[in-house]
Amino acid sequence: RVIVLQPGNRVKVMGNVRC
Amino acid sequence: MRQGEVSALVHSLTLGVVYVPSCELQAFKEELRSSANGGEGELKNSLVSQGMLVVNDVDDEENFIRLRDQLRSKMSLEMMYLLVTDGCNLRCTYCFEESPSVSGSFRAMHMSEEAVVKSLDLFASMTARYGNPQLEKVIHLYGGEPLANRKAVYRAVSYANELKARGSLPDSCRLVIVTNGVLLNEEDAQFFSANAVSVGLSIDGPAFITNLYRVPKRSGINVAERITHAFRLLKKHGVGVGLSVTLTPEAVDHFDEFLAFFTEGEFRAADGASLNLLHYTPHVKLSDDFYRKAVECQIKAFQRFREIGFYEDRIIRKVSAFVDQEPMYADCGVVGRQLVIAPDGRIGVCQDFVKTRTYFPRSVYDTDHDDLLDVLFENWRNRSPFFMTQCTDCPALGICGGGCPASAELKTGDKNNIDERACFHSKRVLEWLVWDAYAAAR
Repeated sequence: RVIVLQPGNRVKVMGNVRC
Repeated sequence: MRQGEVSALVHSLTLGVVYVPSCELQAFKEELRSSANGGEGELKNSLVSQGMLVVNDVDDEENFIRLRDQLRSKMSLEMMYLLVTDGCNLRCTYCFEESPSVSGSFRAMHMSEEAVVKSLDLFASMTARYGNPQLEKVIHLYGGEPLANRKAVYRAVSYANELKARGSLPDSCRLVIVTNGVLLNEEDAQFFSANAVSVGLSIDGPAFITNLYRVPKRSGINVAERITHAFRLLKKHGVGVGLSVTLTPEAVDHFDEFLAFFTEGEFRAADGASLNLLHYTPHVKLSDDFYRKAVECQIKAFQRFREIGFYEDRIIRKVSAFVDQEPMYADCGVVGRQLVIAPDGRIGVCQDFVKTRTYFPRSVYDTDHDDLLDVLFENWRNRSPFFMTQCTDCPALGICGGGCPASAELKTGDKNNIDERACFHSKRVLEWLVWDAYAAAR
């Protein structure tokens, strides 16, 4: 199926992260 | 890009991503060739909604130019690098300053307290006029090794406090000192704590790696031990510490040990790190596949860091652009975001050229600074992949930033050429991001 990547799934790549 | 039976389509500017079964994509392409509008359907609607399917190329080109100019116009003055000395107590193997083009008959000099005051006055007045009030201002105390000129460091911190008290600098203006840690003592740690100065501390991993590259000019010093001692002093006094780490061939070859050093040892207590890809230098021989391996290590490190909530700046820049769907115009502040002040008060745009004073056209001792930014940045504002013709069709354009102009100049003779590390780095990180996000989305 076609999936458009949504912000809620994008942010998961951050995991627990917030010379 | 494709993985198995699924293809991913990426909009390089909006960073929109559409996943579609590869067979459906192929059928859609054929339909598009045979009929002008490609029929109807979920895929077509998705591609139109993401701006991947446009009515004509002219609109697409206009959108690109509009976005590029909008991004460029947002580059406001927010940072200053105060090079309180261009001398250093180390002679790191990979240091840009030790490259043949910038060493020669060099003699180090220290910045005077008068120049410190004039530099901070200039930064305060220029950011008030040309900065974005919404963005944090940062003063980097830099070198060389800044603690080799401790007097100037202390003067800069105390004078910044005076400017804040007067309202000439915002209270939120942050001071960061970037040091190799060897000269740092307890008084320094207490002073940084009392004045909310955060510290960038250089360390390249376990002692056998750190001591291989970070070589003292005076024999008998165990640099890794000194750095560890400095880190403990800073943590004892509650100073924020970010680690500046170079990914060397040894780090790549001993990656598990290298990673454990930051995730399982005492350095996990740092506030974050930057894993820097070793730049081109004639002093370190790199294998042809070094950058490929180094980027894989950076990605593997991030996968571990995100589990434990440890911030790694180099990859986060690209991850943030992808997550926030905000394309990155330039990695480097030379596009108008930074002033660099040499120890003699010369004003430039890039600290990597301090020894030769290349691109340092003005001085803090000048009486008129009205046209300073025009003079400084005239040939730099467009130093972005958005202005590099070979980059406009790259899928990673939105997360790239173009790498380091100084490295490009050292390697190719022209700062406007591609920094080849950034090219490979961005494409590989984008590919990883797209499929990592797919695992969450499907």
